[in-house]
Amino acid sequence: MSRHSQLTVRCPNCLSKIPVQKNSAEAVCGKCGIGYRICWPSPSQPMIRGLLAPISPRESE
Amino acid sequence: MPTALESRIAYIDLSKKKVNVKTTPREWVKQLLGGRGVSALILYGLLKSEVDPLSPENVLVISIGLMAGIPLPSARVNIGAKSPLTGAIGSSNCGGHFAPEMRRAGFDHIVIVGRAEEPTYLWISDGTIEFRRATQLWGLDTVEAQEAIKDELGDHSAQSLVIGPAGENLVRYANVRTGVKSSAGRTGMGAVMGSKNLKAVTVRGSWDIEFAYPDKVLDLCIRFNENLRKTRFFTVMQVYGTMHIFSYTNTAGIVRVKNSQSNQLFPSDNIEAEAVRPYSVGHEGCYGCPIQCRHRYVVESPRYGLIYDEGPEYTSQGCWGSMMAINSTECMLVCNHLVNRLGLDTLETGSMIAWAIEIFEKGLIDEKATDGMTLRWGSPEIVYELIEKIAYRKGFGAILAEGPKRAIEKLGSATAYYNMNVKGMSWLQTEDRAIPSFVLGVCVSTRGADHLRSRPAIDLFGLPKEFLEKLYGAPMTSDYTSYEGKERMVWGNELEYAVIDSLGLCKFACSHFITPHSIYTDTFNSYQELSELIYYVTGLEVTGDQLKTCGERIYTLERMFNLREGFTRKDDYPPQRYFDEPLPSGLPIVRGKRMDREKYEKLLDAYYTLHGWDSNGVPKAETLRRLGLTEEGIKALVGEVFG
Amino acid sequence: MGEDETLGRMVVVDPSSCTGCQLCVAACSLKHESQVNPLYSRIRAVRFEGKGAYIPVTCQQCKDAPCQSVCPVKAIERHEETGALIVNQEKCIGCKACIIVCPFGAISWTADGRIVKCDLCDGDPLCVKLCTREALAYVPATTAHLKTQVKAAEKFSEILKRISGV
Repeated sequence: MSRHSQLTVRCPNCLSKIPVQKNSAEAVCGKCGIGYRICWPSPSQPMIRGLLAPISPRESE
Repeated sequence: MPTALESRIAYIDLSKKKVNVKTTPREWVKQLLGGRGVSALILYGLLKSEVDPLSPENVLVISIGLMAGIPLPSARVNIGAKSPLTGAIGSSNCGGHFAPEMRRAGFDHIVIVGRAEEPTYLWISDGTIEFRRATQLWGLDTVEAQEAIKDELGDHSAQSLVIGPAGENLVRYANVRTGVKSSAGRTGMGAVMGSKNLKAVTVRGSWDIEFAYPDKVLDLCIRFNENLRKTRFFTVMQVYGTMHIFSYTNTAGIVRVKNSQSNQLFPSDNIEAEAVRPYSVGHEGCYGCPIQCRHRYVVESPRYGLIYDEGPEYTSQGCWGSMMAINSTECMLVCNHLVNRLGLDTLETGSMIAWAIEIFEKGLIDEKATDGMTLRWGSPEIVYELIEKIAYRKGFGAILAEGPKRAIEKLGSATAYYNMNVKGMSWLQTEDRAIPSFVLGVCVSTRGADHLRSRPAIDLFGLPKEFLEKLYGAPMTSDYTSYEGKERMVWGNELEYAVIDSLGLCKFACSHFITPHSIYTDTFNSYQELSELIYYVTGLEVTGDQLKTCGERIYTLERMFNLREGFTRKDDYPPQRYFDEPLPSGLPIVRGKRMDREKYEKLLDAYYTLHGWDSNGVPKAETLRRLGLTEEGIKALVGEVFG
Repeated sequence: MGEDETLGRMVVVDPSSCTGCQLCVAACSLKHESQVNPLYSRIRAVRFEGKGAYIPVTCQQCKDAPCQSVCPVKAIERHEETGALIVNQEKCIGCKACIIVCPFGAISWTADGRIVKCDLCDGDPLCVKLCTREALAYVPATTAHLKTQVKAAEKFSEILKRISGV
């Protein structure tokens, strides 16, 4: 179970690990600076839910 | 008493109301296992080329997997026939509770030919087969029909495969369904049932399912259960089901938006997996599965009132959410309900509607074609209306009900560029042009554009090269945007999925389909482990290598079916849009990506080579000999039953 | 030996969590009868699919057990440690009266002529072990009501929240 104990998600852009604060709804990738919304399938398991904001003006059309 | 090795085949002629029962030859099991594999053999052996798929001559094969009934995710039933959508091989499987009941009723394979004089359903119980009138069921939706059959038989454990109004109306992508949600969705098997006046096939059995080594089967089942529960994948699947995939794909920017004009929807909060949780009243799932991945939900709709249904899956999320650019939980849940009840393939229906809206928007069709409807993005009402029109073939719906090829003919060749299909079947709800392995897999799939024949989803994980090399037996890159070595990834997965489908196991739970979780579960992680399972269940010694060869045989046999119908290399390409238009949005890793034709050609060549096919995708003579698929070889196999 | 110990633990079913997957049914039959047949499983998960209801039914190991009382040859005996009612196959005459009187339909007759019922797997019930949705639990009978109680309390708290507008 040790591999579950760290609260992290993986950045879908650069694949680096992003630490997530317990119960937090957001996380930002330290490497590429992209912000993600977080959901929690279980209290010990964060998951990326979606983008925090559109990355360029083109997605919001 | 049925064991996987002493199973029986029922050959049913609906025109003559005759039944013939044979034993499944041992050689079929050894070479093709069951389910999808046996279905491919029967279709290749019994069908002549150029048979009209909606004529009585078409052959419908209902075939359960070799592992059906064991206390594992083993309940996939395969429905096969020549596809009325594509003209290629039709083959689609679903879970639920039908397969173990069919084995207990005494049959592993049911072959149906002819056309019943009046609406009919088949009642198969403890080795007997009865033709029953179904005029009272005609017109009922897929769940109403199942409930009515249970009431009529006075047996609430009877399991049925049924069609809805879409199948009755010969919509070319009507599906076959069991339970509230399980659907054999792709390739229009529901239309084939409809063309045969066959509303349902109902099974009920009280016979034992016996095993060669019952204690070992039980041990495996317990070990699988314990280990699966330790994975992160298990928790995510139990809570969200396949909907969790959307959170990844939409975030990355690999979903179809507005047909295929964009690749990321923002905002999307109402169609994400988390948004369905408040509507959930519990879960459901297939026989023998520890996951139970789907929601049971209740939603109130002003148009349809109070709705109860199950799901939705990732595909419906994409079709009724991002593809239509509608960020509404209610719309997604209502559409899922409509296609389920009417018996439509959610993916083909969504894709046809998205295409219609885009060509309307582009001015290629107008209100004269659409019965006065002004098609536009973002409107749930328009989508509801079109779903109903398709199922009942009303007005414009009758054109969309014909599927990509025929609808393009009717609406003009200028509309073809915008229709995202391969071999006449629509691309799934993902936008794959940044991922060569995904594109190759979808394009060479034997049943038309489809991911379930090969999708190497683990390509997205950036797994270490050493790990991938061990898994696929040759070096390959961890970069999913690269072409390097991806032919081997697709080929490897095609063989594995052909085996999994033919055993009747669930790809999600028992293979590397969407995560490498099976590495941690220590079960079904390799052909070796599957071969162990087969031995415990049947007593049959099939080595890991032989199993892999079974996968090759099944895939090549399906390819041969398509070649006979005139499909060639030219039918193994993505839509032109994939080469012309770069992805407009998404994460930096995918943005601006499009397919490179030259690289794709090379990938295709390399892929054919792995299969032992020539540069036109035709199996070489030595390959046919190696797989026992020479003309004489196939004749001998088929002749064991249909001599 | 006190009553609490002999009737110590029980398999509690929670229909609201059951998904009707049949894993418990298939595994029970496989363990006890070396084959899969729901007819011989000691537990059933009855499916009312169209209504979305799934109800597990199994032996409640009753205190005043009708099966035990009705048995003319006293072939149903209480297991000292687990409190399970066990069929003594040596004594059983196969009259099937126990099948008729069991209010849960938890006793069955096999094709080879045996009365079979839940034996709590000697205190480690396989059905409970395999149930991943926690629709089955093996708990001390004195605490069997707690889960339902908490669920009910949760519902009340939601109603109260709505009324008070907090």
